[in-house]
Amino acid sequence: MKDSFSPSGIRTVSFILAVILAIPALWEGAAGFYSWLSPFMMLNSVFALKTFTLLNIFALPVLILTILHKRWFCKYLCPAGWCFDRVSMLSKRKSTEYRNVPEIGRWIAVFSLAAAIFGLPVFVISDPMAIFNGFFTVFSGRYESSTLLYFSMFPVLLVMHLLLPGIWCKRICPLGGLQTILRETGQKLYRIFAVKEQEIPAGNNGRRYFIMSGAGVIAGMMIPPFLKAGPAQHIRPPASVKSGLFDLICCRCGNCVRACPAKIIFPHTSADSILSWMTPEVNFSSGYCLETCNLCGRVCPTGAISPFSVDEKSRLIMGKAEITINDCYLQNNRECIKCREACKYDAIRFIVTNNLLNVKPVVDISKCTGCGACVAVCPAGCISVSPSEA
Amino acid sequence: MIRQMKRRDFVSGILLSGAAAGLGISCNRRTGPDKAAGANAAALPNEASGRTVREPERQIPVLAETDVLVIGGGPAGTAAAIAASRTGAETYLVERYNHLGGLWTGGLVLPLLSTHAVDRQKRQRQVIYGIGGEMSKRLADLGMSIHEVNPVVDPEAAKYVLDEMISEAGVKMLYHTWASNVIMDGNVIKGAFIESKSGRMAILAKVVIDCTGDGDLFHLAGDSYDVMNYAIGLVHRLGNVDRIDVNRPGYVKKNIGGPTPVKSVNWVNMWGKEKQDALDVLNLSKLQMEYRKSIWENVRDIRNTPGHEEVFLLDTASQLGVRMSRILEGEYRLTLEDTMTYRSFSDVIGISGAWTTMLYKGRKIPASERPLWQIPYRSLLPKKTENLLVAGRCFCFEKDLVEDTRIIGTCLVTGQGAGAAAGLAVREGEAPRNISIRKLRDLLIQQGAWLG
Repeated sequence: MKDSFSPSGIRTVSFILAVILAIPALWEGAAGFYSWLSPFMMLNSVFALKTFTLLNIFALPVLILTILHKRWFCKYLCPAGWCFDRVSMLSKRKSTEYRNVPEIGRWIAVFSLAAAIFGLPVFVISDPMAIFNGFFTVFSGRYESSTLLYFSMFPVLLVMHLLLPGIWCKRICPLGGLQTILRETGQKLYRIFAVKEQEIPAGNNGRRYFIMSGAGVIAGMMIPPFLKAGPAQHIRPPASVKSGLFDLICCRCGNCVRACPAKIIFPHTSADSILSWMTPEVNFSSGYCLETCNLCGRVCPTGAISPFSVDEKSRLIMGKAEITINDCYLQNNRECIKCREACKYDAIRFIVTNNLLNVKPVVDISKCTGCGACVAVCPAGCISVSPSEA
Repeated sequence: MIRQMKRRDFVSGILLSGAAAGLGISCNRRTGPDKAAGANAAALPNEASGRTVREPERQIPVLAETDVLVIGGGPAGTAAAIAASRTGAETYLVERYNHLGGLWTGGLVLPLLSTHAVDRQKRQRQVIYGIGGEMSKRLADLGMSIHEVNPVVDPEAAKYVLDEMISEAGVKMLYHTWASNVIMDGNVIKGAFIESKSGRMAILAKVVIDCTGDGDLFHLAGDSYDVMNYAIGLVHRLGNVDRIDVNRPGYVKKNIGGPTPVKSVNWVNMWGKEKQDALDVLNLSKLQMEYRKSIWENVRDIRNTPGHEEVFLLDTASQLGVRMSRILEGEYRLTLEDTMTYRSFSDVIGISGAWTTMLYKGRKIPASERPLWQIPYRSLLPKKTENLLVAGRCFCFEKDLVEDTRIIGTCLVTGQGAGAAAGLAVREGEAPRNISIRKLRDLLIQQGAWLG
């Protein structure tokens, strides 16, 4: 039993916990708890959005522990690292071969964080917790090609370890890189201020940090103007940041996809907007955005979907409903009041036009939130929601 | 949706329950007229003068002393009378118009909806058997129904078939007769007063079944109920729709309704005005004229459209399309959840289907995937009145369910359930409330009903 208190024992427990939490439909609100713990994700989010939300607090203790102990998160918590180590052991290649590869993780981290300040957290998608959590999205019972994309990222990394043991953790992982930076910076400051060492060991890293962060700043300043998307192309979950920004901030962890009890959030895959790939897109074919739910905002680690309260939902506009009146049952000798009945915001009225025999549903766009209840319920399939920026 | 309390009810509410009712907080639960006050009007229109006159007391001839008295000859009442009579009970059926079938025939609401639903194995299957099943089979055999699922029938054929079935079952039929009041002995219903060309008469019965659709009897008997104001329409039929010439220059497609078993005839539905009080005769009269005018003008427009010259207004329905009014507060209120989760009841009297798409807990359940649902006997039993059963659109259910409960198919099912229960109560000499559920099940199965 002594073994279970060793770092690797604790990490095994952590791995089991992470898997349980990531399995959809167990605790929807805790879906992706591990992505909240990642200081890399947290700093990217805080830098990019310039706001600090309650969810960001989870990563703070990890951040502090990382400064005090070398790679604390990797050693004690990381469920992805646990898997990579197991796979690495199976590999026939020498466990030191990764050393031939440069340590790019920390450069990714610096670059990403510097760019994040200017609204472009470029490499947030390579956070291992996002990749790990994304893997489980396929278990929410959806087997579209888009969920398979989420699913495949993690196995790709596993195979990578079979070919070159330790490659991700020791060399590429931006979360690992960030931890190294934090630790080194912490030690440096300790030497300067606490020990008052006069001679600081000269390293050539300072210059690289400068170059990478400078490159990040330039990237953060230069790239977003090119990415300014036109009007929103697809419907986002409520309380999402603006469409162009969303594509950049979203880490593609799939937390919202897994948390959504109505199962209306899907990973976007459309050839004409590759930038939006795997970001959450709302589709009302099987349900609608429940007036009693705010899970997607609660589980989003990056703040792309900001936390919101249920009471706010009548003001969070996802889009506007439109009715193709010629296909409406009421225009075709059939009885139906489903859209009006389903609308929780009282936005659909029946009006009589020129003749009592001609009753039609009309959307009051000042009240419509685009929640999709009418779309989901319409038996004629004649209602759609068009996305809107509001 | 919810009918406002009338002043008179409000005053009696205060008398009955003091200050609590005096607050009048969104009160939609009502009870029937206070018998001590001698009131017997159904529901006073808002425009009533406020004056009253005293009706002289008089002796009323008793037309018959029977086993079962069914008031209302719509789908529920017809099925109830046939079911009761087939158990051997002497049965009277009172109908105010000149035909059976109610809104199905006289209201020209021709589709027999919710005949099918999905079972636990996710297969779509027929759910309405028994007397309702016999009716639709006979109509199909006559060539007077189209579609297998949710058939649309010819109204005159349905009137004919229902008359045949009533005669074969030996039900004693009273057309052109209105039940005007209940005969009570404390909480026990003893029969009803009826009005007709023969004047005012009484029918005494061991069990009375309220198939009025509006719950007139449980209201008069003083039971509790909710009132739901809903859209009221008026259906009409068009003739010569097969003679529309689409090649005529200037032809424009018009809404000419849906097909019926008679090729040249279409039926045209009307949603109508919302939130209408179906218990206010002045309102009904006003709507009737307004709707008829509207239909006439619409048909005139159709006839003036090139290619539609031969189309004509065959008829407007003889009954206004009242969708909902009173809902009983019975021994059990059937819920939306019950119908969505295959809830099974030990006292099931029938199974109905579904015809509309629903949102349930945020998920879309298309009509073709909706589960079949059981109706318990307790939902037909009023809380207070003894020897009274309720069938048809006013039995006890949650308002979310209204689209499925107000439908012809469901009315046929509750009708047969109530009729068989009444017959059994008479045979066993028990109050309907106390009959053996096992025997009721056996009887219904013997009558061809499907209980799952």
